Amino acid sequence: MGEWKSWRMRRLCEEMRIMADEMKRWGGLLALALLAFLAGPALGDEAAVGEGGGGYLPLGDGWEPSGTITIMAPTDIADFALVPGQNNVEEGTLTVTADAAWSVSVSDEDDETTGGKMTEYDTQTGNYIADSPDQLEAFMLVKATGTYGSGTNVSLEDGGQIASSSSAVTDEEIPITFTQPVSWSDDVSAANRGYKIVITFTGSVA
Amino acid sequence: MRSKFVIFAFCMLLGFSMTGSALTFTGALIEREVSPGDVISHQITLSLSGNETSMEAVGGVYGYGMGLDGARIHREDTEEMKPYSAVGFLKLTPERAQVEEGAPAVFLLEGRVPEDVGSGGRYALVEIHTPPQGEGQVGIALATIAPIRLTIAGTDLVESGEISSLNVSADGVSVIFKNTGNHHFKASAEAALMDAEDEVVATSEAPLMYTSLVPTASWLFDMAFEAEEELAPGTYTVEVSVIHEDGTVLDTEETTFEV
Repeated sequence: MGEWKSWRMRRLCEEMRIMADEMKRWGGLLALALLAFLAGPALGDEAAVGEGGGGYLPLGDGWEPSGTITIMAPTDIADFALVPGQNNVEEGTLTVTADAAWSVSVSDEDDETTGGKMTEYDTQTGNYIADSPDQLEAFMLVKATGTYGSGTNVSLEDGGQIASSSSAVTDEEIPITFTQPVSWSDDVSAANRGYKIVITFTGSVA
Repeated sequence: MRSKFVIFAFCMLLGFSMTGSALTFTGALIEREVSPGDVISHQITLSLSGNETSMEAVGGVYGYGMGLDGARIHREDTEEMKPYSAVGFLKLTPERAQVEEGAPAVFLLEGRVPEDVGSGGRYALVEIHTPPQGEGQVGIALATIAPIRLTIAGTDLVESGEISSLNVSADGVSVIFKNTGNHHFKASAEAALMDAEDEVVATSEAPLMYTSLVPTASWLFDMAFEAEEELAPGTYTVEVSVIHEDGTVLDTEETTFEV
């Protein structure tokens, strides 16, 4: 029994030594990442209008800032597999913090080129094809679910509201679904070409 | 043990790298009373955290549009909305600003309320948007719309409205309600389903609007009926009321349908 206890103690010490070694190797990096994460949204002291530097301008006229909303968008979708004859779906998460009633809408702000449809682009340059680019036939659909999501697909033809609440929230994670129907009549991309779109998530306090 | 720790550390780093950028908009709501001649000066601060370390934000002042679901939509003022617009006397500077991690961008909204501004409310939207993040097939951009709702002090505030559309079925009722006054307010709705003997067989309510309805804008109330029993064939009446947040009934409509 004494030998077993001694072995456990030696094993514990060995594990602690390994932990200490790993902390030396990874600890600095993790601490740095944690620091960056925590310090990110912090405000500084003062700033001129339109310049970085942080803080509020001392206006002194009684117009205190009100209404704060933080939105963290889903990450961009690098490889959206577009299979003909079906609704192709990708998922993401939108995170919202607001100090009052709020809403989030989606839209495609590019009326001239995309207008709510995934549009042909050059995968080398990332630019849309300038001269009559192909477009997928169907508009992209965006839906928010969960407690505050409307649960309804919003077409990017016009865009619209996908989530709202009449009260404040903190770090509320809202599941987002992107749906792109592709038909057999849609053109297959040529070499070094693909289809893309930019979706704008707009947050607003009430 | 070593491998577990390495996996944990890797997951932590992966977690950081997989999160998108977050934008925080402060001062994104302006709702207050003003008087003719008052000087308006309000700042909207934009701060950045997450993957991106720097981006350019672009802002502007627009007309106050609203979707039927309450979404604020920046657009040119309609002829009907122009008398209630604050766009003409507000300016946002600068139009473009660089926001960096730890160094927020500050936009300043300024203006002077005209001496002949009139009565009721004056409205505008400030939109600030940022460029797309990432270079994927589906790029993501973030923006905010800051509502500006100014009440002209000491003037007659008319908070009225009317039901402009009513569609009913055995399952529910859709009501479109329009603000016909000169000032913003919130409202809720109630509906009752009655049989041929005027017995109430089901009721439904729509909650208070989460945001204020501005003059000329409309709101869609969708209410579902959950009757205890399937409706027998016959004539039914639906009565709908839209109620101001202070309890005043703003409008009532009724219609009939056959099952």
